[in-house]
Amino acid sequence: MSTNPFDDDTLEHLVLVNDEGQHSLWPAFAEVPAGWTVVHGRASRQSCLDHVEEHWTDMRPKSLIRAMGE
Amino acid sequence: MTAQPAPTKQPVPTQSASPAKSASVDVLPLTPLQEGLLFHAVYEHEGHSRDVYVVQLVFELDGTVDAARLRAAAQALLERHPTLRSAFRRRRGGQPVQVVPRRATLPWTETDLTGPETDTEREWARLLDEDRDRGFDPATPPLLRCTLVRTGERRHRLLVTHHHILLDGWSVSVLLRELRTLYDAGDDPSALPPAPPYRTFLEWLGRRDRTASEAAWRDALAQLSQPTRLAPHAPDGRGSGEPAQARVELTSETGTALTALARDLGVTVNTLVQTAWAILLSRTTGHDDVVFGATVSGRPAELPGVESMVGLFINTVPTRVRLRPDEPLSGLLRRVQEGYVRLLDHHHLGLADIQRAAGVPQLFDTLVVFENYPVDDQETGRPGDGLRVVGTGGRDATHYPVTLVALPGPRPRFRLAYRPDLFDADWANATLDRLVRLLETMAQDPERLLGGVGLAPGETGEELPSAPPATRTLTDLWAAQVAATPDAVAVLDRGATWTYRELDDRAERLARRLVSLGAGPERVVGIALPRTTDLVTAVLGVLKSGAAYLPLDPAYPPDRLAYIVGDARPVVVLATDETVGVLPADTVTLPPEAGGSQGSLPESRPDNLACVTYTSGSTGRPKGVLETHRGIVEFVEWTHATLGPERLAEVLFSTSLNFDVSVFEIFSPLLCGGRIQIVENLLALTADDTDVREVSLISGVPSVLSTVVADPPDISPRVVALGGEPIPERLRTDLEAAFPAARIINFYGPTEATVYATAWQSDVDPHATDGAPPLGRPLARNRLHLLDQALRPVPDGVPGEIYLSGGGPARGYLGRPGLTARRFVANPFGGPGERMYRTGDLAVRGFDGQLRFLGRTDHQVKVRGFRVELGEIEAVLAAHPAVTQAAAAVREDALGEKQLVACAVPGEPEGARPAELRAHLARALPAHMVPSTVTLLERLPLTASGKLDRTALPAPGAPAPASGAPRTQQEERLRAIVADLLGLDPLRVGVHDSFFDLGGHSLLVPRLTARIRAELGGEPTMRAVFDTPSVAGLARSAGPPTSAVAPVAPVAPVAPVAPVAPVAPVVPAAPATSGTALGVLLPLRTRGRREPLFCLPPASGLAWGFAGLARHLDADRPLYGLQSRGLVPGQVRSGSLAEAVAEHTALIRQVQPRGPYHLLGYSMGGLVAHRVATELQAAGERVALLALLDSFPGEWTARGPRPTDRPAVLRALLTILGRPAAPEDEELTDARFTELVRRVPDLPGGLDDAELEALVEVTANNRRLMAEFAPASYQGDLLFFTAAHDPDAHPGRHGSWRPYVEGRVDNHDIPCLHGGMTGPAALDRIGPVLDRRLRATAPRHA
Repeated sequence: MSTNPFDDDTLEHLVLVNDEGQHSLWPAFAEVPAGWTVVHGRASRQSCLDHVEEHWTDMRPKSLIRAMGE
Repeated sequence: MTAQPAPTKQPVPTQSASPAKSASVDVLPLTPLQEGLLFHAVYEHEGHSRDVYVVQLVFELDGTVDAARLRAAAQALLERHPTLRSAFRRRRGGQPVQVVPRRATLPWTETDLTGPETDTEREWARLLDEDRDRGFDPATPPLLRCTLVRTGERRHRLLVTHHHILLDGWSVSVLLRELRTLYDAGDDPSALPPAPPYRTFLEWLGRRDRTASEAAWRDALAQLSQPTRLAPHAPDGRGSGEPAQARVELTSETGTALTALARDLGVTVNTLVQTAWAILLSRTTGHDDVVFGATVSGRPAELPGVESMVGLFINTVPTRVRLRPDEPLSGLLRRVQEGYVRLLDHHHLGLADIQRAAGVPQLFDTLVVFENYPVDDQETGRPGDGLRVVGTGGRDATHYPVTLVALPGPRPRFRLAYRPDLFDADWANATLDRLVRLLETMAQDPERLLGGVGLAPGETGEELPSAPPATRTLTDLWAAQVAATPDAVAVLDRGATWTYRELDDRAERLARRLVSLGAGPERVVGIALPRTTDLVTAVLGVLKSGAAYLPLDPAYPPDRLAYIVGDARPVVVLATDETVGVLPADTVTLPPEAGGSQGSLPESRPDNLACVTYTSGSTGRPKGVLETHRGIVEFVEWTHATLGPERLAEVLFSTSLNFDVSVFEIFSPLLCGGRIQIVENLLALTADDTDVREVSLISGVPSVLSTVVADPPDISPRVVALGGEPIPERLRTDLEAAFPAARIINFYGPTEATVYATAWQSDVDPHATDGAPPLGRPLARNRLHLLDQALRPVPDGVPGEIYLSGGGPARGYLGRPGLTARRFVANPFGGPGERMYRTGDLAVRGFDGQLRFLGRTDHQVKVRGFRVELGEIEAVLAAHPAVTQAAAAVREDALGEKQLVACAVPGEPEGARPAELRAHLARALPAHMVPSTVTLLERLPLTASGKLDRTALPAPGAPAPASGAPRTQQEERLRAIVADLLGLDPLRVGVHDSFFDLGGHSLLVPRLTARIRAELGGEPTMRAVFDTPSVAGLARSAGPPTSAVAPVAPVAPVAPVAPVAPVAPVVPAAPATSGTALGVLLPLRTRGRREPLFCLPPASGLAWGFAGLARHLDADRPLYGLQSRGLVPGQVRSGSLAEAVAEHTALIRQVQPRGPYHLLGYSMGGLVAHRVATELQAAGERVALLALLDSFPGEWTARGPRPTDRPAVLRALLTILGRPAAPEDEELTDARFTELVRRVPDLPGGLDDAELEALVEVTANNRRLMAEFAPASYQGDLLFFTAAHDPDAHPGRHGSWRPYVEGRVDNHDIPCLHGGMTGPAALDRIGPVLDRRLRATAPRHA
């Protein structure tokens, strides 16, 4: 079975973030979908995952954080 | 020609079609492809099916045709080219040779299909069919014939039919050119220079350095992990008939652009086509490393005159292409071209040798043919009386499921030939469309990255109107329901009932207490409770506190619960005194009946967490899925809208809280006024004392419902909801039969998409065809995308990975942002900023619009509906200090039931015991993840490319293949045949494994012997298969291949026996050695530690039909057939029923001296089995199972033919042997009987005259003995199978046994005739019931 691009260490990746602060790994060869901003990369997949681990510390959507009054 | 050195010479075999008596002949070797074609030709010839390699060429001739001159010119071709006269035979040793006689006359036919009464085209089509059906016998030359057909005024068609083994397409164009020249020259052979002989090519071939070529191919195919197949599950289809065809033609603009592209890049047009096909295969199979067959011209440039040689030069070689999404098309094309050039010098090696070198048995099932022949420029318009060929056509084929033929030219054309039983015209046309689109993309934009190349035209995912997101929480809905139906019963728990109000009061008090302990939104509260009403109130109480509940099934091992508690860090865990012990010592716990009365409850929002469900994680750590109120509410509201309150009025709550199916079982009924009934599990339905009577909906995994439906409970649910694994077709029909009023729902969806994401409902989404139910449609606000590796939607018919978006996807994994970012990814097909969940599941949307599940992209597996990451098991096992390496796999046991197996490589030889390792696993993993076996291996099995070969891990209960590897080449080839026939990996077939154990049944035996004959030569008898059903045994009995005459079966060493007292040991010989096909003891499986099952035959005395049972029974249980004495000609028959019973009893006791015994009898064998059982009981032995197949005491025994009425006995025997009944008014003579028996090439059909006579005598004798049946009373239950379709069948007929059975008579109706009870279809139903009963009743040997 071929490797899914999200699992393929030989491809370059990006880290995308949406308005809710949610992070997504993204293969660099594919077009960035609407509503997402590149915050890291092109870089190795591991570098991207490290970036996510470091920066996505609260996984609640931003709208929920706001609604909960924090 | 005499001057040419001949490798060998020998006289013409006498049966040669060549009448030339003088003729000495040339004997030449075969090319590898010829060997392959010969195999297919012989195989088809034996099977009386059509040989796909018969080629028909049609030349449309314009103008006057001088038939005599044309015939002479064609005959002259046969004289010019010896190879056209070749016949193909095997030497005694099995080695194939081509034999070229000095002379051969071209078969020539002339026909006139014109005339006022003649429909020329219809007659022509019939002529073509008849000609093709006539085929060729490879041993009778020439394998070429011509038919000249007059089709009109000055119009003819010349049909040239030949076997592909003689010629390739290039040679045809040479021959056509020569035919013209000879015709023009009026049959003057000197019009042409001497033909360069084909044999120089064969000699060249013999001089190749085989080792170097093997190394080149091994290198080219290194690390290829799997074959590329478009029809991975294709049944053996050689000879399945004419392939269907689809065609397409490119525009001349595209043709010109492709030629220019090829020139610019320095590649051939063939490379463009091959690359396009590789991309198509990659996108279709989901592999990024693909391989397909390519036909190469095989004409070595170094051979003088090779371009005008006639013969079979072409070869089929693998083409391997590795694809990367970030590589431009131009780079890929150059790589493919380089790969082709690198292997050019090795194109001559046979495919079988290449595959052997690469260590992959079958590499591909598609073939690309690029027809690049020298074209005769003078096709048409020749002046004078020459032969004017104005058109060509014809039909040929390959045995590959899919063949793409490219015809180059200004407007390149493509023909896709495919097996119509595997693919349809829609598929073929869509495939060609995609191919054209890929070629157009190459021509327009060669620098485009492969990842940017899509197969589907501009798809953006499906746009469906969807409902708005849910705005209420689970607690909102619960509060509303309590207000609406406060006094309705909400929970029924083992007789006790709870109303909505009672439940709410308790939950409310618990919630207050939880809040006082710190619970609230985005906090987690654990629940470690048995499945009682307390569990339901706990769930409601946690949600009312604003927190999310964390299921902690107390049945889970403490290590795993400790991990989950440590990972999720609940504020508090609800636990009872009994369950608190499984939790880590420092856990803060609270009893579920605790309560508080003060304080207000916090408000939660739809986006707050409702529960955290842990699932198996591939790295060895389970991961917590964060599920929100919104996701669950949307699912629950969908069930309300779709099923309605009536169908949710009475729902069984049977699933562990740890699986989110429990969300469906609890909330769907409770949030619409329904009632839940708590049961231990679904099997409670089948218990004798069950009080479950009124059920509107049951839900469960298919494997559990299979067990339920085997013994259908007396309920009539309105919904049967299945999920967790695909529903087998059989289960669907069984469910429809057991619960005719029920809607069947097939749910699909991972926990990450919140409970379920799609649903197929039998009455809402009916689909015309039978088969396994599809996945259905996305439910609620879910959306489903099928994407390829480049994240592009796949077109219909092409498998893709399922991505789910919309309302379903959960928030992510608790505390695992990196993992969440990998699995919950940006969605290019939804609104701005939307995410989609990448499932790892493969599915395909058919041209009927239905989604079908195909499997996993990774090593996640499902066992009985549970999701299991093999990596997690491997990580836990490898963590044991005594283990250095570990592997886990799912294997099917003998019953086809999925089992987890694990293998470990110990650090030191004596360092670990399997039982200890299994205990280690059980401490860390939930029961469904603990492998059924742990096997110690010296090293893990690896594929040729060095990867772990999970398929080679031993199956549960399978005999260790330690001594099972083939020791000779003959065993190796026999193993390959057996494995292929049974659809097994050859590595799973040990040379000592019985063919029947491995899944073979008697109907497969003729196919086995035919294959052995075709591939290995010799004359294997079907009987030899029964005598020694293992690869080693077959190799032995085959003996040296020169022994053409089958040995007569040795007479069983059973002395004539006088009537003796029952239970006396009457057979002196060791039973295991008396096993021959006609002996009194037929050992069908001798290995295994459990007590054997003994099978008694019908009146024919033959027990062969029971062989098909082996694969249904526990692999650890031996299986013996007992046969009537007298089947071996000259052997004395049993004198009385008592004598026969005594003999059988004695034989049984020889095999198994002490009980408990297990007996099965069919027809008359049932009477004998009953008597044997009562005799054994009288001797003080225990009989644990007595099972009868359509056998009845009393009046039935006196029916049937009188033993002296020979025609009637013959007629009855025909039925027993499964032959169609002879007409009623026909007086059956012995000769007619023999003819009818031998018409079928099975085992009885292979008996000789004396053996058939003995069989008739035994049958007549048994008829006589039957009348003596006087049953005693059997102490125990009787398991009975009725042939329900038999004309004599009537309900309750099995009741005639009641007077002779102390216990129950448990009947199962089998839809077959009396004579069909040991057929594969009947055994498919009988076998599992028998096996279940055997497992339940019989203890293991101490």
